Amino acid sequence: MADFFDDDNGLMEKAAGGRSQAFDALVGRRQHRLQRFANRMLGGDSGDAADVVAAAFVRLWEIRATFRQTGSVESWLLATVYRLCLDCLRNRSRCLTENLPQDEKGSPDASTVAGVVEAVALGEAVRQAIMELPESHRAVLILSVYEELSYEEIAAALEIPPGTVASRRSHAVAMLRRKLAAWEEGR
Amino acid sequence: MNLEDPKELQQVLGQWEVETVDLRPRVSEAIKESPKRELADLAAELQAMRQEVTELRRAVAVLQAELARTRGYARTRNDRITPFAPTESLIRLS
Repeated sequence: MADFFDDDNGLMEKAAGGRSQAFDALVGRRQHRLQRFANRMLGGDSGDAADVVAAAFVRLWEIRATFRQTGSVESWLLATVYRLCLDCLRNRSRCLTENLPQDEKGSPDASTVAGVVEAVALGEAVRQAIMELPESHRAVLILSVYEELSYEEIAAALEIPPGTVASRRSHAVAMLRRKLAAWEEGR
Repeated sequence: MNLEDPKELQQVLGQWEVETVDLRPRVSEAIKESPKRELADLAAELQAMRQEVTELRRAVAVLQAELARTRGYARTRNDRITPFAPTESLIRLS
């Protein structure tokens, strides 16, 4: 379809005109980054991440006729997903650091190769260390390190100045280094 | 591991992988129902606004009654006019 050649704003214009296929193309284009972001913000809960991202797309669809965005559509989506993640975290009654899908990865059987066990343990340590970061720092770190967005893009998505992005990233990396070093020493 | 090295740190952080799914069918299904939901939201909003207008009208009626009552108590013109500033030091000309 011609939707392939449209940028996000073009797809939104078509969606505003009632073309749901254009919106479908936008969802297909942007959903994976949003899910990865939400998933890591929520500590690896892919079910909640999918809920949050789907809700953000539905919200965008509902306001398609009046949608006016000075930045990019993706910034709007990231900002909305971020807010929904924060709501989700506030509403959780269970402890985030204990609710993770780690059992399948964290308790390998005896036949598992040592290298895989090591990688899985390290992955779990990274997840826990990131989840212990303040939410505002976690969001910056995820978008910067995992999604490789620029400071300007992160600033637009999180609605903070680029200088704040830089300082939060720096603090987050320093905290992570300390946490991971402590984890390594404790093994 | 040397976490001071940004490349190595990046590699370590990369050990936490997450999976994604295709949300298009789910979103597509959800947006089919959204017009109904939009209408319901609008109706609820309209209802709330009507309620608010009714309450405002009641408040205005109470205020008007209070104003009329206060004016009734004020016998002279000077008592009915609320001064904008203290009048003690002013000279009355008439």
